Amino acid sequence: MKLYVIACDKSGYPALMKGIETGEGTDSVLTVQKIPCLGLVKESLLLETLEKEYDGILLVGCPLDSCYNLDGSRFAERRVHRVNALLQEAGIEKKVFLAFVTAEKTGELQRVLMLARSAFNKEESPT
Amino acid sequence: MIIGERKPVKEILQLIGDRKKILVLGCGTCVTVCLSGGEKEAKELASLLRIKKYQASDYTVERQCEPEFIRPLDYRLKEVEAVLSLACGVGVQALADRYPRTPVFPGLNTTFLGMPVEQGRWEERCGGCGQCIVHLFGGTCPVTRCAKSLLNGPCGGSKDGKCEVKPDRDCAWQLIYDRLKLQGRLDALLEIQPPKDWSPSRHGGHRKMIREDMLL
Amino acid sequence: MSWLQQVLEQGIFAVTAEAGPPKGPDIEVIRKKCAQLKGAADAVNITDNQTAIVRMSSFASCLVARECGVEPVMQMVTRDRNRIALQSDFLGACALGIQNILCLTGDHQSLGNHPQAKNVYDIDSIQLLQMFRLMRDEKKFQNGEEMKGEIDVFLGAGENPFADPLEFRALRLAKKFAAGAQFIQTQAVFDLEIFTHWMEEVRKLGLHQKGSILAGVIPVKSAKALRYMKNEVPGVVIPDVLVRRMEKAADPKAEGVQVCVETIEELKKIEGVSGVHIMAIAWESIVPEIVRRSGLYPRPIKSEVTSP
Repeated sequence: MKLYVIACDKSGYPALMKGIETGEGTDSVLTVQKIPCLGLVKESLLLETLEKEYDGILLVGCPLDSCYNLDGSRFAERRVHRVNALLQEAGIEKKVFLAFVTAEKTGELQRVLMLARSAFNKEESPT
Repeated sequence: MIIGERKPVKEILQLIGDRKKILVLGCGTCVTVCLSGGEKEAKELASLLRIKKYQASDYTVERQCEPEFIRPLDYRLKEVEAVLSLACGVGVQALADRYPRTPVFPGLNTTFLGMPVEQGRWEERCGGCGQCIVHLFGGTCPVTRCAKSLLNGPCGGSKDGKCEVKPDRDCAWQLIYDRLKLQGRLDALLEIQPPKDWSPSRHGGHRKMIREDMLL
Repeated sequence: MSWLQQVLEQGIFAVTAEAGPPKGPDIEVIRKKCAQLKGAADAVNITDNQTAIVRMSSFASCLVARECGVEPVMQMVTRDRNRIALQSDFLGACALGIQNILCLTGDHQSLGNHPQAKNVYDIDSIQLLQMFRLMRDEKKFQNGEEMKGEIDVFLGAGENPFADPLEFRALRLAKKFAAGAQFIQTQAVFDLEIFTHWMEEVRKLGLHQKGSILAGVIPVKSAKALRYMKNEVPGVVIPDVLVRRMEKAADPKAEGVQVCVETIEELKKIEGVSGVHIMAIAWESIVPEIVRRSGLYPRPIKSEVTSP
């Protein structure tokens, strides 16, 4: 599994760096893009990224109610939902994952990484 | 504005069939504003097609329904096997007329003439009947907004001000009643409206408009 | 002159009933319903693809009803036919001796069994009344063209005193009378309070003198059926106390009949109500009992009434 990670520099990015230091399940992370807020991630960026070799995208940012820009994570949640719906409609087996973390609490990141891994393993195994 | 809704991707893929070189063409007017067929949506769809291994490109013109805006597409059209138009039905036909050798597929279902009533929600307002009588009804069109196009008052199914056919929509006649009451013009509703002349509407056949002074 | 019109003009408290044509070509269904209703009602409404569900045509079924000795009220809705077809069928019905026509807009097809159908709604019920009156009284088609021949027809319409906007309901009735309605059959009355209030408005406007108002009633078989109507049928208002009464009843069918009889007793007392319209949908056999117990039996027979 090859993941492209887009991380919010206030929460997701530090959490990810911590994960990479300890080597916890981050081996599938191929690329990391640091951005100021998940609210900046548009559907077109997600889809264009998926045109490349990545199996999926992981967005890591602040919990819904503690977004530095108030609604960034909420926007991200809607867009991820919409893009996943489009991918599903088109029968494309790629997915966008979303993890809400803080710089300290990284458990959620591990959980979503596990989830992503199992999602792709499940889809890959029958073929 | 003209409201359109994107067709399901599955249906779009069926329309395209085994053609590979596709131009996804957005329209920069109505369907951009109702968030279904503008540049953003064209890019998304083209991306989706490329993930599906099509050679898809995207482009958006100001208005697909006017020949001068689509004329510059000539060279782009030479390189594709089909066009997926995200314009309303008018734009699709304008393209099909200009490029008779290229299959043009509609990526949207053109749904109605309407407006946004809140963010993310659009509603029908006009049915293009060709003979506007909206002034008789306090500015609410019963031809379009009443499910039965009643001209002489509400049917017997209006409940709590909502339509029996579409319970999440206001009963047009409740709106008409409330508005005319506010204006002290309820007596206008006592007048019996005669049967409508539908000949200026689509029922009279295909329509056209001419401005003699503008003809070349 | 239609028998129903004669009864009403004599000031006799009228009784009409309703029979829905079959979902198939079997005319025995109509014959059976007519046999049950004969003698209990002065005229019987034959519905026109009611609730937008395809059934045998009202026109054909009316002819069968007449053969059975029942006077039909032919319902016509504007949902499925434009002014051309409506006028044509009207002429046909009049020519074959159908003398009562009830003008309705009709339930929207999206609530029926062919929601994919295209509707017509070229005209509405009020315009339909006006059109038929023009044909009868002025011998003119809707377009103003002259027409030949005499038409003898009693024109009616429906009205719902219970739908929103409530304040507009009596005014809408005024429009129906102005358009040509001679009799009105109302939506089923379960809430006597709203109905009484509506009738007050009607009397204030003097509308009860413009034509005959027949109040609708529906006998219900169970609390479940009542709840279904309360929640699912647009334009029907049913008080909670009535639902509770049906729920507590040891014999719900008998209670339903009792409620219906009591309602009719109350309706008879209201000034301006000229009769009742009993809509015993799929329960036509109960109508004679309701009529008897409401003190409305026997019905007048033709030889006893002389037309004015």
